[in-house]
Amino acid sequence: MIESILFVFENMPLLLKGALVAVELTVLSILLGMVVGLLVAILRLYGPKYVKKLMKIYEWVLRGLPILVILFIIYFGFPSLGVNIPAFISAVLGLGLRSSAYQAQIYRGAIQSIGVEQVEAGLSIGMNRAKTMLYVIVPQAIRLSLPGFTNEFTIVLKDSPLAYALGIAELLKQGRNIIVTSFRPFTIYLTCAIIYFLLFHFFYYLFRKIAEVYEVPGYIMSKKS
Amino acid sequence: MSLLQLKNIKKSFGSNKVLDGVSFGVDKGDVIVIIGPSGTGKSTLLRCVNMLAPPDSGQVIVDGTDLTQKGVNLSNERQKIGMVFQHFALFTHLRAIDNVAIGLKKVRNMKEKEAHEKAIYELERVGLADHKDKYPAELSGGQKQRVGIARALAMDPLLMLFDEPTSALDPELIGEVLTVMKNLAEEGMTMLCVTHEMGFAKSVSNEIIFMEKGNIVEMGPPKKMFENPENERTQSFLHKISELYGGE
Amino acid sequence: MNKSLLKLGIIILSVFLVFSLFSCGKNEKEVLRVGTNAEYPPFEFTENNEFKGIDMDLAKVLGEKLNMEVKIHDMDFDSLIPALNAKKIDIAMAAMTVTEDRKEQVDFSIPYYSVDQAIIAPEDSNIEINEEDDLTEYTIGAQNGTTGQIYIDKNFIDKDKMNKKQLNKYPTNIEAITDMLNGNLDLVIIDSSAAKGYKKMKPIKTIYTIKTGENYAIALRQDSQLKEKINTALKEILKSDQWTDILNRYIK
Repeated sequence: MIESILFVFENMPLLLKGALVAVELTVLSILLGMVVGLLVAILRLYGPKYVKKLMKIYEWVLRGLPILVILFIIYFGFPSLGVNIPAFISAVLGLGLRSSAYQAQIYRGAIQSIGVEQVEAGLSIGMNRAKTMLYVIVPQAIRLSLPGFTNEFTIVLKDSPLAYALGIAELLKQGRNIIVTSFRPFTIYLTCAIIYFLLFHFFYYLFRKIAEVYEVPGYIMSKKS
Repeated sequence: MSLLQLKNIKKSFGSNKVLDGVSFGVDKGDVIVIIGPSGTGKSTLLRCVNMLAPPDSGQVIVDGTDLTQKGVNLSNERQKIGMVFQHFALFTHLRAIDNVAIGLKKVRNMKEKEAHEKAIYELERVGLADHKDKYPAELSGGQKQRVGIARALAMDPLLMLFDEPTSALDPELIGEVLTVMKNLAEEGMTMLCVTHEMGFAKSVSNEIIFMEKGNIVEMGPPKKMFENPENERTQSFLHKISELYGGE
Repeated sequence: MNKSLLKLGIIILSVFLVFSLFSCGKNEKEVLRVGTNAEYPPFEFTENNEFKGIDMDLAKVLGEKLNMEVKIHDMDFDSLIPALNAKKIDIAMAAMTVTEDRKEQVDFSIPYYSVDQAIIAPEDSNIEINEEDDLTEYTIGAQNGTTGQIYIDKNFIDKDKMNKKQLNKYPTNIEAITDMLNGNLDLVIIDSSAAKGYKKMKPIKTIYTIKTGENYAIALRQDSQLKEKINTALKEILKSDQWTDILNRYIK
């Protein structure tokens, strides 16, 4: 037992390095997904008819593909079109674009639940559509979508080990590298599980705190359970 | 010259003809009340005035500018027209003071401090300066509507539109909103109100428009409209209303 | 927690993340991107985040001979050939056996190592294999995409001598061996050289060897300009003491 703890302790720097990569991957993917997702949501709600259709197909395709397929297409498939993207950026693109399809749904739902009168009110005091979107709809939509967003974040975090397939040394890959020479899969996988678990709850807690800071009467964002 | 001139406004939603050629003018200082059965296009008419629902044909001339012309900067023009909504439409994520100040900050590019000073002044006008830091969810219906009025006033409009401002309120809260509206009228604000408050119409307005099925049936000073309306339908509507709302 | 502090935190985090993206060093020498799957001791593995093993040391020597800077790209074994053709890597050194199937997709250097297929069992197992067909009695594990797995598929499953369910495929040999030691498998088929390596770490034994005489070689793209240079360098290295040293370091 003590020997196992020492063994884990010895390998901790490598595992933490992998965990940092996992967090970088997750945060960057989520940010990309947020920007693209918001855009897709807005275009799908307010865009011209064919753009709406296009966005619908975008969501539909990305949500219908396994993440590994998306990663492989970007990393191994795009070079045949002359687009050669490094592994880490490919992983961020893959995880981020896939997430954008899900985030678009979350934001679209949130925007739709905000009444038309809010837009009318914004326009009536002289804001143009963009300002109304930016200062009236988006701040409310973000609050409404925080629970869904938190959920999506944890999904991306839990999918980040798939970046291993592109050779990215995130947590799980670092773990496997250690197992190869130590042959102690149980100890290492368990340690990885604990690190993922802690990361998961750290971010969960962080988002709850953010929710509390930005909480406004009338919106329930931080579920205190 | 009239402050607002509506000329032959027509508007349909699909096959449903909502406004069928409405024309009238509003002079500076006028308080005009539009009455009529529900579904006769009163709210739509107000939304035509500030182009939230652009008319299919006709002209909306505000302070000399025809808003239906292409190339008109609607955002600029709408600042001249304040609007108060039936269901308040306050920005739920903002405190009362920010609801009033947001237009000043984001449209007029005022500094935060300056915008807040003006917002407090407008909240004082509606008697809510003490509640400036509350969120809409923490205000009563009457208070919400008064914030809504202050928000519209903050942009220094030439004309105020009221879209059934009291119909979503509990009876005991209606008075405070009507008082604010009455004070505004006394200050000389030009107002176009859709309302069922006959008391307000009688005592504050200088002209009443009775609309039905997308048309103006009859218009005139309140005394004439209430005491001897020319049109039969005006008579029967006012009769029904007084029964419903227990008018004087 | 107040809002401005939170905003500051988010800004710092984003700046840090963006910098970490672009924090790559610059190189003067031409880079040789070597793909591998560092989960295959004694040929390739990591120790304290450094790449080690016969292939990795050979790559270093090769880099010196070619006057190129070697950069290791660690990935799935199955990804190596796609990565070559997608120009993500220049060569693959991953104890890769030359096969006809692979030759259709990539080119190979001259061979640098020769192995057979070992059938391994837990040390306390009393399974006996006297001829190849005895294997049909058992469940066998193999790393997916390896010669061993392909061998079982071609010679037993495709010929209906074995049920499909008797061959379990794993991402790496580690999972296969672990699963065998956990009692879920009878045997594992693995390159004889790797069997030697694993014997040092786990209670396993080689109970049968299928003489395949396969060759490990460096895989290259079919249009690669490097083939001549690599073959020349490889010939020199294989004759040198450096090569003997490398082999002694990992296999006794």
